[in-house]
Amino acid sequence: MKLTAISCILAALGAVAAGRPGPDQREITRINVLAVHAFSQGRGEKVYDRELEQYKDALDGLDYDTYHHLSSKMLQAKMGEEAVYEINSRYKLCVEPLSRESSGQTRLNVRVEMTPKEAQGRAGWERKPVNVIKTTLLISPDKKLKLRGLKLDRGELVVVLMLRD
Amino acid sequence: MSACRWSKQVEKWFDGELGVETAQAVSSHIDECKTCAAALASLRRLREVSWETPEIGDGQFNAFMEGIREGLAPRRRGRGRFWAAASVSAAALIAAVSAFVVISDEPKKVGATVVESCTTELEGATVNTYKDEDGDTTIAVTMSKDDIW
Repeated sequence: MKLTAISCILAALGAVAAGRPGPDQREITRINVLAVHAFSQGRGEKVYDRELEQYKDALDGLDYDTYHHLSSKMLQAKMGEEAVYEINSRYKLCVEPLSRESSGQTRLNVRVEMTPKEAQGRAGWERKPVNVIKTTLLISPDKKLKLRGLKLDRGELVVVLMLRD
Repeated sequence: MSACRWSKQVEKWFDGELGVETAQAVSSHIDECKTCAAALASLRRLREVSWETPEIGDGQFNAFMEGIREGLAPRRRGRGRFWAAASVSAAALIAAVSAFVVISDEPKKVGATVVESCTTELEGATVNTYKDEDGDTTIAVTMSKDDIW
């Protein structure tokens, strides 16, 4: 009887511990990031790199005919800490989770930092990065966030972010 | 083995309960009767075994009787009840936690993405936000045509 009771109590404590979200589950936010170079080559139809197949719907509305996959990464960041992803030598994506709402949304600070090209011959020019996009938003886990309009080699850089559950 | 009519007399002889003359007659009979000789051998083995059983001395008797009384007395149930109650409580707790986990795992309704603020530090650039048909959000920056960018 005593052994049974002790086993039951331990099982109950285990169940309580399993039911509570651990600190990692609560604090770490995971975001899928996809970087795409969109540009036009005068093609009659839109051409996507194979890696972009599942993101076609997010890119379809853009006015370009060629979509080249640059990179993808799963960013992980703790609440209140900024995770930085260097997309290329000119653009950095910075994401800072701020809070998780009861609705399932996550509040984020998102910045795209750009370093200007070398300004040869321009007197007094400082090559200082600027926040080309700086936003605070509530993002839903099942929706995509698209950052676009970032100039890149006769086209633009498109960054797609998707919050993971 | 069929019983001999002398068998009762043999038992009495073995216990020393017979008179001298009867005892001599029984002894003579045992020498001649295989059945009574076998019965006598059994009685002797039985006595040997009984001698090997430890005897309880007078000093141990009270403790011996106390042990018997404890064995016969009904068990105290106080502690048993406590552990039974603890088992029931733990089982109830497991059920409650399981129910909570199952209920809390139900999918929540998730709100749409909301842009709370959006700016650019780039001189001459503008930033716009819009939603597409799927409910995905786009933040688009329009940069100047200056080739330094």
